[in-house]
Amino acid sequence: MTRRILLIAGLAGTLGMTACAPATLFEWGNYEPALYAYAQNPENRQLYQEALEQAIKRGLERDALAPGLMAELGYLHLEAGNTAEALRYFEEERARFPESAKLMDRMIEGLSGTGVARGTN
Amino acid sequence: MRIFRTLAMTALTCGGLALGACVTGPPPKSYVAMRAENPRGILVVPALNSTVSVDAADYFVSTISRPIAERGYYVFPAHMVKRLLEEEGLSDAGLVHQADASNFGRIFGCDAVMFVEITRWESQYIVISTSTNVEFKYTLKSCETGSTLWSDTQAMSYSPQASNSGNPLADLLVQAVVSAIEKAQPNYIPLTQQANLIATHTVGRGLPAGPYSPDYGQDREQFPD
Repeated sequence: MTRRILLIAGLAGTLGMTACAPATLFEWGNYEPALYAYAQNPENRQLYQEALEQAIKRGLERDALAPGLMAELGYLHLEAGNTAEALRYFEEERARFPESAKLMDRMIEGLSGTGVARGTN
Repeated sequence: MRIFRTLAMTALTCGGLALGACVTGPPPKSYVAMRAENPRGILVVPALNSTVSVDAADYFVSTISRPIAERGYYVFPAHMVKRLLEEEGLSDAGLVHQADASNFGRIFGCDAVMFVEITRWESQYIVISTSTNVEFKYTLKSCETGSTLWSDTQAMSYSPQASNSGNPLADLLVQAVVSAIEKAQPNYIPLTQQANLIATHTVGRGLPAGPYSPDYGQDREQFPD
């Protein structure tokens, strides 16, 4: 039984690799399992935060930062009351992914309390 | 048993990856609306759960961003978006899904919004075999016009199988144990990941390459008008 399953796993893996497994565009680290764990139990918040931090670090290292991760981490900081950190991550997300500009501007405005919109598009 | 299950799941997921990467199945869809809109940023709103499994939508959120982003799109931070909607009094996914897609453009600045309905999320135990089933309906709508740009449905099943050892009674026992394990703690996540991957990555059926993909704008043959 073990051998058969191993064989299937091996075959599927080989197929995936030799046929056409694409290199991932972005670095996700443990984002998915950590968010799942956090959804299962709010006590896993720290785990989720660490997974985001690690995925971001690795993503920056190979120039493959995944969309949304900086914002997710910023939002965790916002929830924890670390507004300076939150602001930093929201600005970083905005700078790296122009698609996020409108949402990030809203978050940044809310935080800085100035009500002045930054370069919108 | 745990190891077998993990291995089987790995096989499933790997198989899914291979499938997602290059299977061409039914005839391609029309990508006229998708090309015309040419979305860059996709907002995934919380899934609408039409099953009796209360946790399904909460778990689903962890599986949907990555496959869409890997097709080359900016995907808005799904968990943060969920919380922001809750803050706005929109914790009911039913309300979110009824809203006109153009509202999301105003709030989030998205080009398109992905609605996912969970229509199946269950583990059935029949005699001595268990089958775990999931089914999702995906609809991508324009944040500008509200019209549908792309849609898909994916159903996945998984039944753990004990192999034939030549001793029918022993096989029956092993099958019952394997089944009971799956029943006690069905693992929906690999099936969900596989469904999302196939939905978004299948050539001619999934999402055409987005702006962050090296294939962007060069896959008109695979994703025709």
